[in-house]
Amino acid sequence: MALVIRKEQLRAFNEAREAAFVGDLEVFVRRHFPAVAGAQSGASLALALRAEVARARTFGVEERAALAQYVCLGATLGWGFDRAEEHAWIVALLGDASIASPSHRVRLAVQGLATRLEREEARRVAEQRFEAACLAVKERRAT
Amino acid sequence: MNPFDAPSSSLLRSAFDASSAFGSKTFDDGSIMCEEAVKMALEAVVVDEFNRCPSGYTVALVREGSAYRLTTSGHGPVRFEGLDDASYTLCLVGQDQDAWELIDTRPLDSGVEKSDFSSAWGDALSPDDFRGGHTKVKAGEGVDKIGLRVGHLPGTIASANQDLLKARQSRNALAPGDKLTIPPRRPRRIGATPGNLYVLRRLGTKARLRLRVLSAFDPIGGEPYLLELSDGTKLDGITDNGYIDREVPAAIEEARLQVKGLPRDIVLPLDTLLPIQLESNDGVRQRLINLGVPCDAKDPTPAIRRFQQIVGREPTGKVDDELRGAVYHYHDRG
Repeated sequence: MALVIRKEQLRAFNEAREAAFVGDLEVFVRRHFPAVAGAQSGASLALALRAEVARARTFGVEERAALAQYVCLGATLGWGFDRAEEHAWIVALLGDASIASPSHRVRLAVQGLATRLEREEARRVAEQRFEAACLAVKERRAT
Repeated sequence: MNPFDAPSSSLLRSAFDASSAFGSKTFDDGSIMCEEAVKMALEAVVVDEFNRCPSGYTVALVREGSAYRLTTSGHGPVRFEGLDDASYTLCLVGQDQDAWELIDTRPLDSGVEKSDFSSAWGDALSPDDFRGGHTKVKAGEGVDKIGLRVGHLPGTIASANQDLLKARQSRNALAPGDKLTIPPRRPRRIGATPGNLYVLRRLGTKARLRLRVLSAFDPIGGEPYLLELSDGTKLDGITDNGYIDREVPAAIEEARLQVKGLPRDIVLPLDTLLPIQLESNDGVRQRLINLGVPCDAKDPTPAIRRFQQIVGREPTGKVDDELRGAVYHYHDRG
């Protein structure tokens, strides 16, 4: 006997799966980006996550891990980061057809962003050490 | 938007690592389970000696009669898709065998080792990919940068051009238009198996930046400095008897130096120093300016006299071998 699943049933099934996935993403964001999650109500966070997932899909991203990684980009740079001019390099990378897998493009974007942030952090540390050394020399000379 | 002023790389990396728990399943229409991918992927990342990922390197996966070429984006690994579970070789196209090495091989993370995409095989590698020849030095290039451009270690270029470099005294003080011989690149291939990540290190990517900060020919020692490279890197330290001596990426073109006690930043265009023997005397003039003796291109005589007086020589105002030797001593050897 064949089991017939109507389109409406499928749609309802998909919506339930999507809602469960967004719920998992919410837990993920609360765990890894507590300050971002803490700055929004639960409902607002869920809405933002749905919007991020929808935007990720416009770049062909479908795998769950890659969708979560796209959310990592949003939680780091701000929701809707793909519309900000300063992040145009990420948008270009996500749309780079020479890289076959959209999931791989997201991984590269996360790695590229992490590297940029690390370099920015290293620059700040060097500046702080320079300022501290200048102050120490000034104080030594004053005494 | 993000409530943080400064987003953290460690939070991002930690979340990225954890994201693999979501798995590689997709949300298709849900009615039919996707067929499990049976093809494999292989990734390769090119890093420099500062563990950065440079862009523009062509990595080829080779099998009999064909090659699958991908170019590095500068953000991470290239990914070869849709591979049969077989043995291949990996090659950095246009790079000499001495200019790179394999430093690590590790299995791809679970979930990314399989591939749903088609492979893109093309023509086999050809001798043209590795042919030698000649190149003309461009403004702002020394042997270190040329080595990067043509796929050789700087030492290999230097060995192939000993006569010219001997005449120029420094391998990074060449004149635009100097013609260098480029030996053929010897291809190197390493065995590669799908499901793995290969880490390839490009060698010859470090250069030494050594300079001395003087005020009226006296070294400024024991002062904090901040050196900003044209790639955005900032290096801090304390001058040692006026010297600053750092390893920097060979590809950088300019540095900006801030030293406590100096009234303004010093901008240092790198690899633009001309040979001191040039007939135009531009190499001498550049060095006098660097030594703090302003030198007019049309009438350098007053500056030369002033330099000769400072270093206790007869102020002839003439450019001769003795003057070149003195300028070289104070500038290049100082």
